[in-house]
Amino acid sequence: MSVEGFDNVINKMKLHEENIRSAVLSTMGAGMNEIADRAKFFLTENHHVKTGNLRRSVKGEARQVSLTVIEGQVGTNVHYAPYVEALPDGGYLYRSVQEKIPVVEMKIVTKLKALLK
Amino acid sequence: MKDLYTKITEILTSDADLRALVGYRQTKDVPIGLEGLRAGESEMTIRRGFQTEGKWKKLVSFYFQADIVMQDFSANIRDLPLVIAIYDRTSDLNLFDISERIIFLLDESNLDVSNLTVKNKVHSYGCHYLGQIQSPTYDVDLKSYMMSIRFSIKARKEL
Repeated sequence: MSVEGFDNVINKMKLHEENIRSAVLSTMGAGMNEIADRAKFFLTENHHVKTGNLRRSVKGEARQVSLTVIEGQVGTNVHYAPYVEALPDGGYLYRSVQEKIPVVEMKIVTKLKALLK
Repeated sequence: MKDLYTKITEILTSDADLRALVGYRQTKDVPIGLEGLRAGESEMTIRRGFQTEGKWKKLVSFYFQADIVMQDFSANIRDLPLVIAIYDRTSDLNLFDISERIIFLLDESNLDVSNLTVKNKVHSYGCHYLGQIQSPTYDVDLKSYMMSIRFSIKARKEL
């Protein structure tokens, strides 16, 4: 059994290596911001905003860990954030991640498809 | 949801090791709800819902957070986040023993409750441990050490 055309894909990917990396990084960054926005929405919707400190502190970012790994993070550094996350009407981070990850994945796939056309 | 709660209660309260770890001694039937809680609150140390009142030394309370629709697959299948909060007023180290026992009991456990009721059948496709939400910490309001862990239950309600 042989697969034809696979070498072309590899060559194309090598050619666009840097473009692919930066495109994924930027899409991932935008995706993480989307997740952070969604988390802020849930905080507001569930009336967990009193001073706005927690809401303001929720941030998303993407960074390149190595040549083949790009990591996205959404979180907060406020000390009482885990308490709110664990409340029965909490789960603002988990819920936003679960809802938005398929969307972010789809965006990355679309971007890669456009680059490798 | 009600059937899932029943099943989880059954799993947690029927384990002798967990009962011993949290000092669960309730044997008599008590009324459901707040009245029942008052009737035996010191013995009822494995509780459904976010109920922390009463005189207890150790406490396990479990509750569901809002369900999440799996948009990319089917709207009928939901992700139900199950949070288990563990409290111990004497030592933070006991929290690990209790949480390990709960993880052993619930992770990959069979929560299928479709055979319990004729109507509103709920099929559960898995219960997975997701990790700690809070690492052991001291709750000043409750004067107790505490930690929370989360499980994810994938369930489908038959319409």
